[in-house]
Amino acid sequence: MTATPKRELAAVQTALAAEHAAIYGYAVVGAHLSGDERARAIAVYQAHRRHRDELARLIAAEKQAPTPAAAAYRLPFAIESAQDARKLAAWLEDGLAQAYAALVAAGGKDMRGLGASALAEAAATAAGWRGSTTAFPGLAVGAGGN
Amino acid sequence: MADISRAPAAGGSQRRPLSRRRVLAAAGIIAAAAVSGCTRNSSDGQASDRPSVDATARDRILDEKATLLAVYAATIERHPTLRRPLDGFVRRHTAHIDALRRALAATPTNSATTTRRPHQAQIPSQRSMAVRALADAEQAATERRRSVVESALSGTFAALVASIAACENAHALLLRAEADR
Repeated sequence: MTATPKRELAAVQTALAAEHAAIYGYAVVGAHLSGDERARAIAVYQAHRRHRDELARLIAAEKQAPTPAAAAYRLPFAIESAQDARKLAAWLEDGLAQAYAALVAAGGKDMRGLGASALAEAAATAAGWRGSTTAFPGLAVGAGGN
Repeated sequence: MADISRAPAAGGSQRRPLSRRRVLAAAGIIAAAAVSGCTRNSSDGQASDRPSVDATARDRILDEKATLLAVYAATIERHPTLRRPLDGFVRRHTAHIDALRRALAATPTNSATTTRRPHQAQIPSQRSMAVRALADAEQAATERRRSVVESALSGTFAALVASIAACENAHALLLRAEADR
């Protein structure tokens, strides 16, 4: 599979869309946590804002319009407790891991490095919320091995 | 309102009907296992006998994985109460080995399966230190993957290695939590 600017750019846009969704989601996560966990959610939220800005800058440098955030997002399930919030946070990181794995597959050398770092970060963050990991974060292959 | 899972949401002006599976399918990741492992001559598309840099990298990762699993085995031997907490880690590394062996199917692996098993004396006698040593080994492994990801010929192989590195990164975090328990 060869990286082409068009495929790479599409993958960056998809990663940006995932970051937008994560930023929205983490605001909800933080609201349902307290103490150290809330502080962690805020730190992760801020990290995702930095990723969002970096991706938007990369897209703008290619003279393309960055995918905008939606006005609001529907959450995958009701968030009524700290446990729900942790589950949502891990779910958001899973989505980011998929977007960044796709970026690695589609990207040239620089973009692969960015994608791989963000994928590793998403996997570790998800593991922090969930207390476990999967064998292949971001990939549909080899699912399991929990 | 956009659905956070990229499925169409009811109401609202912005809808993003894009499922994760479709994103992955578009990137060719779902069929990640079978990619060519041979160097191809760009003018005629013929596969040469020379293993590609991807196959060489795969074999090196397989060797490293075998060594890492040997350290896990020696750690469990020295600290039998770690068998259960470490079981999932061992299984995931084994899954990585299986996936790497399936990847680049056109080039059989040259990875040696015999691995020097560390002597128990090399494993820290304190349980928490032994777990921390595993965390360090996982961290070192994830960092070694980066150059493979960046230089791989196949984007699909690069994504597989990046995913394995991400799992190792998560392992390092989980093991540090286990060491602090």
